[in-house]
Amino acid sequence: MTRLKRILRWIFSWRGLVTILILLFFVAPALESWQMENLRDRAISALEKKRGSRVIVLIHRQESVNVLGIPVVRYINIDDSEDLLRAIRLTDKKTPLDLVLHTPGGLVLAASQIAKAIKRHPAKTTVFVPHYAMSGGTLIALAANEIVMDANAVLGPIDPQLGDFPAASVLTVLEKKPINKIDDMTLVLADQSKKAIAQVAALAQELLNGKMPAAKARDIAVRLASGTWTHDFPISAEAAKDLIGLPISTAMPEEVFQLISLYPQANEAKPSVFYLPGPRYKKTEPQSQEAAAR
Amino acid sequence: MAITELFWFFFMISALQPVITRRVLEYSRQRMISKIERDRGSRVILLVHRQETMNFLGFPIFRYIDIDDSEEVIRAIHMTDREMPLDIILHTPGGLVLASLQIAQAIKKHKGKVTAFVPHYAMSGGTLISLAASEIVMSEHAVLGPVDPQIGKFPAVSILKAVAKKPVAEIEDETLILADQAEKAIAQLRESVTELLQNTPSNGKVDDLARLLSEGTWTHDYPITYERAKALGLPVSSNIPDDVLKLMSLFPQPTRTQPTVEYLPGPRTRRSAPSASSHEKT
Repeated sequence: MTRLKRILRWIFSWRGLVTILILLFFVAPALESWQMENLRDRAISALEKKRGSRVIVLIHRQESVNVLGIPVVRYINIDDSEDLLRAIRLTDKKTPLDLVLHTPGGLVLAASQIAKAIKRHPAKTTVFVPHYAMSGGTLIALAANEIVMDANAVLGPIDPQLGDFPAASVLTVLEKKPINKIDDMTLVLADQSKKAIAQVAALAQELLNGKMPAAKARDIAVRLASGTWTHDFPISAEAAKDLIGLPISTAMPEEVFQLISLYPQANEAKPSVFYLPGPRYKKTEPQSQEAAAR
Repeated sequence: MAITELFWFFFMISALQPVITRRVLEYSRQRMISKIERDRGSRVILLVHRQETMNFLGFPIFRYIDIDDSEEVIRAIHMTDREMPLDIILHTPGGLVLASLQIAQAIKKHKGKVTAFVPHYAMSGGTLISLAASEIVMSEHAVLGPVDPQIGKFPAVSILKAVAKKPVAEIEDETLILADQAEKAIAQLRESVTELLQNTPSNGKVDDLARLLSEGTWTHDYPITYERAKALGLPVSSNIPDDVLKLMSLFPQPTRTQPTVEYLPGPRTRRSAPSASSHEKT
């Protein structure tokens, strides 16, 4: 009784309160992130063990707002390519490489560095796209021996963007307007656009070479790089297979989904999608079938 | 001593109070969702975007359909048996075309019956998602919206109009760049809408309907009411279950201190007044 009283008194004293607050605010989040890290490591090593490969995960979650209220956009940058190349360097040449991609794209330079490194890897390389890999992500996927997509996952066109504008759209100004009426800045941009498109198309062709006849590789590369669609156009697994002719499978291992769900949105204070967790199976209903028969 | 203890006691209670309220709200949401699932024998997914007027630093936050939403919805669809009916409840101003299309196409591929519930509004991307459903259940006052694409701040159609009206040499370069994207965006969206509408209304109308919805016939905030949607040939019905409306009231506007709409809760029914009717007769 007196012991309980003493504990209560301690809790309501300054020192007790400060200790509890420190525990709540500092130790709990640290523990949580440590545990998350642990789970991720375990998921990655489970996938590695199952496939006998090196697994690398490249995930860009859009953090809507950081501490100061400014939105943070995440994309493939040089740090990513550096980390990824390090991981590839640490992998034995005979070990297959599995890359899990979830990204809106990013710098052409960084993406092409990664893509070339994957292309150069002698063992089998597989890119897994559980949800989306646009732009630079698609470029990386083109380098792999095999692309595995979820049935609802999408790739995107790889046409280069200059500043805010798609290079292909800048070039259309030159076709439509008499040249002495065009702004100097647009002409400067147009020159870069032309080079950028040619370069990306050449790179894509190089990545596709060896997987298909050269003419087909050229055709696909130009189609993806020259602004046939808007830059956010979703290319589904079927479309990629039929229209574009990429080698794609939809046999996504369940482990990849589990892995990606361990990378939650950073500031998910107020989610906008709600459902009760757990799978749902349709019960067989013999009565209703009978009713339908009647 | 007693006063400081009392003070800490109150401090702790008031610190815990928001957590407790949130838990209670969460629990009642879960109960309502599982009740609807039980009644309809389906998987229920909600996509709710309440606009938060201000965050704690005073910046407004706009919420819309983004990639994380589409990922989350598709995860839920993944966990659902292919034959199981799907009920998706939409309350959204729209969002990214990419994300909305991904959800719409995933719904279209689902083998079981998909019903979209629109208790209040589902504009733009939200409408795109409901077009993929085999049935759209709207409340009588709910609205859908046109699905014409927006390029930056401007409706794609309006950019094209501007380009069409002026001699091309006089048009600003930036407008021409936008116009190229606008043209592609409209064509792509029309094609996607045609695909989504396939085998919904009578076949000859699909092209016209897709054109009407995606080519900027109206401004982007034009409300398409239940009657209008029905006249257009969309598979709408108006018998929205009460439980869905109740569920929506469990998603209150966050961070609003002073509500702008007030009324006493509870239903109101008109009393049958026999005296009045007898009065009419005489």
